[in-house]
Amino acid sequence: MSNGKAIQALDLHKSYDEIQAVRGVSFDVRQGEVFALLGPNGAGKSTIISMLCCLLQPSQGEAFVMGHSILKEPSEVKAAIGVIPQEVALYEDLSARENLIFWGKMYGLRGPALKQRVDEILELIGLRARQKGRVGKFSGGMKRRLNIGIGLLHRPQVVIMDEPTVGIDPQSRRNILDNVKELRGEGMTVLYTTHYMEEAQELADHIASMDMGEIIAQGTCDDLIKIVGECDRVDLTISASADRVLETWKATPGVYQVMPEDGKLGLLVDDSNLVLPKLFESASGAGVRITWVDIQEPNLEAVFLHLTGRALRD
Amino acid sequence: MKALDIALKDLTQSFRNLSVLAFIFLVPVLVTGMFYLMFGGLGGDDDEGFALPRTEVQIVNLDAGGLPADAGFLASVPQGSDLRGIHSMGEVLAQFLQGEGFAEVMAVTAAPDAASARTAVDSQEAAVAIVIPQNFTAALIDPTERAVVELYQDPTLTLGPSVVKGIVSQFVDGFSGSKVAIGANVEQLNDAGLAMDAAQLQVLVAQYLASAAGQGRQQIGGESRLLAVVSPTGEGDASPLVGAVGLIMAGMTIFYGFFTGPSSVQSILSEDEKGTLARLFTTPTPQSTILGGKFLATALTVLIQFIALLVFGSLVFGIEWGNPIAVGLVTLGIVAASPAFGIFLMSLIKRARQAGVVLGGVVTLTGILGLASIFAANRSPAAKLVSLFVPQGWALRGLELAMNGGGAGDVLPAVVALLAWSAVFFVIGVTRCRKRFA
Ligand SMILES: Nc1ncnc2c1ncn2[C@@H]1O[C@H](COP(=O)(O)OP(=O)(O)OP(=O)(O)O)[C@@H](O)[C@H]1O
Ligand SMILES: [Mg+2]
Repeated sequence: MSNGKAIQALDLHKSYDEIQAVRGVSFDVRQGEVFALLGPNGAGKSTIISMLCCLLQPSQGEAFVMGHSILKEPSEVKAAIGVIPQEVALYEDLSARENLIFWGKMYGLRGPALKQRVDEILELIGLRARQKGRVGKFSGGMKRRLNIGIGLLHRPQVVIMDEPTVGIDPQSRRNILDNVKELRGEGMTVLYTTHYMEEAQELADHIASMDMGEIIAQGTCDDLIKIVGECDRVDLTISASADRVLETWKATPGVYQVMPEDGKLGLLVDDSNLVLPKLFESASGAGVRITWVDIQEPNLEAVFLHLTGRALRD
Repeated sequence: MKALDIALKDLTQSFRNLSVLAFIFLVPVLVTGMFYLMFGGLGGDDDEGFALPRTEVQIVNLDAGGLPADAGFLASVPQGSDLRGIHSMGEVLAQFLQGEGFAEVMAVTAAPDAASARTAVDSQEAAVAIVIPQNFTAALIDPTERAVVELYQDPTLTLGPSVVKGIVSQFVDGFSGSKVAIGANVEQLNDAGLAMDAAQLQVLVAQYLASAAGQGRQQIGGESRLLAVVSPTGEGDASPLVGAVGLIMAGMTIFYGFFTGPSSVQSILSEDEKGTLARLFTTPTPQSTILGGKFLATALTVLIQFIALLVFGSLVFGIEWGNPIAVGLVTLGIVAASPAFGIFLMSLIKRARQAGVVLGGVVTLTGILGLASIFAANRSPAAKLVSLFVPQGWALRGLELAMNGGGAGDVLPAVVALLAWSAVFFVIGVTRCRKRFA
């Protein structure tokens, strides 16, 4: 019935009064894969997720989750998904265990099965020792892990995670990324939003890169990187204001993009071996010294830069 | 089943919250207790019901006095009363707090000056320092003067200081209307997370004013509310004390019972803001179950509060509530009406921030209307009539009938009226909320 597709989004639109937050987004998520929605703040990721879990009505378009229409069969959709909201949503006056028990009941679990599942989740998110502690006293990272655990309680067919790693320490982040891989290992489908391209690169089988409410590119990580071809990403710092070289460098053959970002210049170039000498030359001409250079293989950051002229991160 | 789970979760949350508990149980009991003490009687044998922690209080009276010697209310103080020979309102307040009625609750000692009293708090010898300002009496006489009673409290303590604050607020507000304020050390209060919020204070104040005005006029026939506090009721019926306290306790229980509904239904708004409501909506739980659970939680809270207060009243104050079936029926009506009232009010509110003001205001106002007949000491038919325009009035009528020996049949009209109110509030409220949270 769902012909191998866990999620199928068809031309989803959502406008708030003034803002068109999502403008015609379509994508397919296959069963058992990790699919990343990658995009900067305000791209529309959370809005898409709210529509997929039936919290928001699309202004236009339709989507299916495990073959169920989000417009016509919201209860079936809700039973199939486990949602991990971007903002931690927990009861701070209750303990970690009490939270899991309560949410488990909301997902329809009861009795010994619930108890056993709660124990498993506590183990998975590494909060077994702190299960009796009040959530209000937890660190940000602990709350985030519990926030995730709740969404996994009923072994949903599709897990929807909205930026689960924002604002936490590297160790908790590692723990979460490993959890996602385990989930995929168990055959769950994961829809994962993030604005960290490393996460998308590491986790995702397919990636949709979003900007301003639209998908600007989608495919596997390799597919996306091919968009920028054999480009290199060059970051440099210079001894003077970027204005003095910006125009010359943009006009230099082999340079696709020049992006000033906080004290650095990010360039997308054809072949750094050929272009770098020209950059040094024109810098000297303008009386500017290049003080630091870093050359990277192409990555998703470069793709985003290439497609939008802006950096993924703000 | 899920509705019950939601209700139990809500109950657990609120019963873990000290200020919720204080407001549900402690404040109504304290208010009734104060009236009990004011009316002069204090059986030494039946007060084991009070198990409050005693709060150490240091009081500094800087009041320079200035009561005109022939001030009406002093002239009318009975011979032999404690208030004879008193020259300032500061002394009245100090005596009031030192009165044996509060001995269970707090131990009051006088301190020589404000600095030493604050030091005592800082060094944890005392929990609260009360500084009565130099112009306290003057402010009562001169309409242009403003005086501020300072409450300096130990931020690490919770219950004691808020009790003291409640008592002092009642006293100060009762005397002065708006001219004397309590300047609590705001930062400390906030740190302790225990500042009574505006709505709660508002309720206390309104109540005190209304009842002091009513009782005062009734008993002394004067403008001097002061005497309502100290004058013994002596004259008249055989057991005026228990009768009056019973009625007041009934009034307080209803007043706060109707406060609990709206303030506990409000948890929907805070869940909305914290994101847990949206998360509930992502689970396969129907919207009606979620609302039903919230309603149930509130109804259970009101029920528990009601039973606790009725039992307390009968054990500690010896109040006879009447035929259990009649009382049970009225309780049922209230348990339905208070949450329904809450849902209705909540549907009028946009944001949780407005909630305190709107709920406090409307609940206080309707509460005063509903209890108008008590404040008018049952002498005003108009007050009785007015009270029937709000659910609290019907609740009071029901309890009163039961206390006067009415049976199930006698209270039935009041119960039906309460249920009708509930239905109206519920339908309007739920319809509006559904639109909102859909
Ligand atoms: N309730 C709302 N009312 C009006 N505008 C909204 C509302 N929710 C979101 N928006 C707007 O829609 C756009 C997309 O927001 P959305 O939260 O979906 O972005 P996002 O990709 O999740 O960003 P972030 O990474 O910051 O979470 C933004 O411009 C935002 O301001
Ligand atoms: Mg978001």
